[in-house]
Amino acid sequence: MAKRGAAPLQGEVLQGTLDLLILQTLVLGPAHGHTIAHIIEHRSDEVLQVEHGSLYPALHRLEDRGWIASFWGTSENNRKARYYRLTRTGRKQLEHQTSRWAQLVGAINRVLKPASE
Amino acid sequence: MSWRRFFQREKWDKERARELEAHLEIETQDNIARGMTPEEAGYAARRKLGNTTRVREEIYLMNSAEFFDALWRDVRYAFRTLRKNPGFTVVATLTLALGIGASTAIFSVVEAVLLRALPYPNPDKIVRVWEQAPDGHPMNLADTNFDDFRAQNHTFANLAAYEHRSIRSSLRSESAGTLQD
Repeated sequence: MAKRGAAPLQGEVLQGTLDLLILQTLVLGPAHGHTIAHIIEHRSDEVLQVEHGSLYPALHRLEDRGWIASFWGTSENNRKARYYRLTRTGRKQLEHQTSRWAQLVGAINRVLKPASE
Repeated sequence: MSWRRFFQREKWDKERARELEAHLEIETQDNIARGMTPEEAGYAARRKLGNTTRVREEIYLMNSAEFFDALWRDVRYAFRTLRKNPGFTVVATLTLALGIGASTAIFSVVEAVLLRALPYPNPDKIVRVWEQAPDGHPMNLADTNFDDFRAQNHTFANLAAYEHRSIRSSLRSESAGTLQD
């Protein structure tokens, strides 16, 4: 759980944002759902608390769109796990969505910033 | 894959169930490694993962074409109901049969008489002309007038006249029939 700063943004992770985070996580290489959830939590300094269950519909959706592909593999501690990897389409989508996200954040920041003289 | 998923609901549900199970195991192991008792570790993992049935339902619905599911349920319901009320089924079927039969018969006539084009070349160029009295009533055409029209015609490829004739006949009389027009 979050120890510093604001309370975790639980449940506020919008659907599209979760997709973006998953894709970004998989840039590092194939990973299974459990790892993906933890990477997202750790890299956001625990601010983004992913309800682990909500990850799987998102993974299913992304796989259905062909942005990620999956296969059964063996985890670090010798357990069966379903691994996901980024497809070429997924990589393109990630670039596209990342720049859209940056645009959105930039726009919101410009609105929030007090007008400078 | 997109549309193919609609035919692999069961398969995907099993896959995802297995996957969620694997997730629980890994999280439980991690929790034990963090010093929890196995029981605690299992509970904590379950809490963290949330309601797996709900997750599976969400994925199952994603793979469903809800419209066709509903349609199929309705069709089966209709057949069950019909089988339960044979009397109603017979009446309904007869009504439909008569209705469709009558409509077809009437349409056949309308089609032949009104809709189908006349059996001549360029049927859309055939027109009907008549003489009209100053008060607007159509008049009967004298044979000689028709001859003049035909002789002086520059507009039509050809002209033809027709006449209505009512014949009244009876079986007894030899020479029956009055001519009109």
